Amino acid sequence: MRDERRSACAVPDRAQLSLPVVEAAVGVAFLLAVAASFGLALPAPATAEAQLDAFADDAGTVLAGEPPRHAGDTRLGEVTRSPAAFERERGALRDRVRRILGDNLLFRVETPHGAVGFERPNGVATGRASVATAGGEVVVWVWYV
Amino acid sequence: MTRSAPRRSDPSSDRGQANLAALVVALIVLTATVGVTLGLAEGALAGADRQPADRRAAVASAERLIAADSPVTRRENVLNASALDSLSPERLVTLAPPLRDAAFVVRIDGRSVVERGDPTDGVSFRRIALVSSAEERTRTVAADGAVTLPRRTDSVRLEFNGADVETVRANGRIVLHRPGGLRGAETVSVSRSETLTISFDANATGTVTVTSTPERTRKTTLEVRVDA
Repeated sequence: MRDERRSACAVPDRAQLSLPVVEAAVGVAFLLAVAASFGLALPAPATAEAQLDAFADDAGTVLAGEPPRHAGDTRLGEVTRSPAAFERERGALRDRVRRILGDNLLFRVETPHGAVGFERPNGVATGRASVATAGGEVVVWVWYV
Repeated sequence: MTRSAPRRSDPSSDRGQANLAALVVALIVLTATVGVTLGLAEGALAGADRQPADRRAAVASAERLIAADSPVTRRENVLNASALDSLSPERLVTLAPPLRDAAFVVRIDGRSVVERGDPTDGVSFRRIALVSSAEERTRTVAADGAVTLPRRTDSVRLEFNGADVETVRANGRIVLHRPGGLRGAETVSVSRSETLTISFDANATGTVTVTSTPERTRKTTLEVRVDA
């Protein structure tokens, strides 16, 4: 009996929080959560990657279609023949890829005997293409400056 | 119990009006939030429109223009400079049917090659290619020696008027042979990936006209912009 009376007395002193306000706060939070999911959860368009993949593919195709400077079947076949051939050709290969890709693209060309180009950065859109040669796979990575 | 009963009823009758005001405020806040949310959703959906039809047409036509069997290429990613000049919008639409009802422009290094309509707003797709232009180089060589062609070529035409030659070798391999002596003009396909040395048989006399078609390539960017 004593407990019940004390609780009955305490209610009017504390002014009960209005239930519609609580409901509205919950509703607003819910709606804002939905709105945030629209704003945040949409993936960025992957169009840059598609374009970069096309650039990497083109660079690989152009290199694979070029005659070698000294020996081998194509320019890419030449650099995968041996470590010595790669060391001899790396400067020319880097200059050639730089000329093909132009100024707004950075690149990395990985061969079984080493790589030319720049360090591949994290967190940016990159395009990738690989070309099979007799000496192994050559991978071309391309990204925007 | 007798004291607590009227106390409980009194405050509830006082709170009746306050509850109505709170309800009205709550409804207004909720309605405003719904409006803002709809605005955000609309903006997000509008921003997510990537014009897939235009993009498909641009990607497909750029791909087909630089394919190995395209009418404007010599081989994959190598465009033929003279064939590009004869490319018309109708031929391009035949090559890439997604362009049928669209305005499009094809640019090579920023210079418009084929254009139909005015694609101001649309999707553009770029490819890297080479433009090759081939020119004939003719030289006259004495048949008792050998000749090394300074630039690589994929075919060689030899004219034997005024020469007595039975055998022609390209880098040591026999490519032409006729026991009684070669006559007229012959065209030989050779590898583009090695420097070519043409030599004749030991008893050959006279002069042979050698015509090669070395190609000169330059790097270019092919851009297709489509606005359906």
